[in-house]
Amino acid sequence: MNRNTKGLTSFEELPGVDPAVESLLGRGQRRQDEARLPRTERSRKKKERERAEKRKPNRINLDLPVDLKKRLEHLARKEGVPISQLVAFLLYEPVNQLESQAISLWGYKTASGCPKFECNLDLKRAHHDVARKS
Amino acid sequence: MHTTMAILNQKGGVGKTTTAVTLASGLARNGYHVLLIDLDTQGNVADSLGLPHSDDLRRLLSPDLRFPLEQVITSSGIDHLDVIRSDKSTTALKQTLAGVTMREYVLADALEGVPYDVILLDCAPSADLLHFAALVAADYLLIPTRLDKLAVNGVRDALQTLAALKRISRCQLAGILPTFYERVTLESHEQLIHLAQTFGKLVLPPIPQDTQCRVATRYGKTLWDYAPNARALNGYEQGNRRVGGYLQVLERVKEWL
Repeated sequence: MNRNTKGLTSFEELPGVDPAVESLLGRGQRRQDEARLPRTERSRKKKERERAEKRKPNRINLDLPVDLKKRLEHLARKEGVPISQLVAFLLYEPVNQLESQAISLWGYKTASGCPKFECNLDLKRAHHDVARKS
Repeated sequence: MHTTMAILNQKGGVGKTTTAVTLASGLARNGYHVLLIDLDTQGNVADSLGLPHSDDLRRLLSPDLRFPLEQVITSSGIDHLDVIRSDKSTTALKQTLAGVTMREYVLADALEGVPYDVILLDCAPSADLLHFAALVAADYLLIPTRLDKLAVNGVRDALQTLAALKRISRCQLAGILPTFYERVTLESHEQLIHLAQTFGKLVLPPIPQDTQCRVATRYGKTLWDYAPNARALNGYEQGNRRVGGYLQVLERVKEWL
């Protein structure tokens, strides 16, 4: 097989394929591309990939307001617990309340410009309301 | 009403019998009533299931014997899975059938109205009479292939045979199953791309190369029983999911039934 022939070794122009085949080929192609990189770059890519693969299915990224993050960090330090566990602990109560409709997001929703979501939540207003209650 | 699937490649050593036994036992474990028929003179289906060889197939199809189906069926020892075994006598059967008119229909006639959900035909690696009979009897064709040039040529040959029988066979190509896949070798990768470019969605999730397949056969057990964690069953780990392997192929096969 002529390895320089684009088409036989390129993954880009494939017709519709089974997702499992696509996934394996994508990985193989990535490995081949990485093999051509300088050593330091290759090692960085490998680490990045390993980090991504280690990500657990129960993990999410949270974008927190800076002040809230600081308060959570302070609380976690004070209680001597990991911040992720503290956040999970604090979330149980409002999640129960939201599910049982004891609270609602009504009044905090604003229109979103992003095509992926219908609304955004007004976190500043939520913060203001919590501060007023306390 | 049953669905019949022929597992066929004119190239030998591509994993036809392992595929037939693993899919048959996998479907049986999922509650389907499965009949696995060995059409190969080597009788490897019996070996793979830990059964003695027998001339079941000859007794079923030979014009001078024609035993009823229920007398040639053997229980595999796995719930819902029965087998019709084969041995060297199948060579004599082929010679006998050579002089019979309408011989391509012999298997389709014998399987008419049998009370199973799925019938899997494990074919021999040769373009012989039983090979044609299997394609006439089958609704679907599954072609296992190693990821090397010669085996991939076998896919082409199998498709040419299927095209030649178009007038008397309703069999459709259901899928091409890459076996012995090694994700670290460039040859496997390139041959898989080549297959995917040619056959698109017909290429099924590949089966990783796994020694456990051979060991399971040695002990006469299916992979599901001998090595349920085998890579050939569960595929490769990719992040949080598994890719390839018979488990994923089984899900695709269930969609055809």
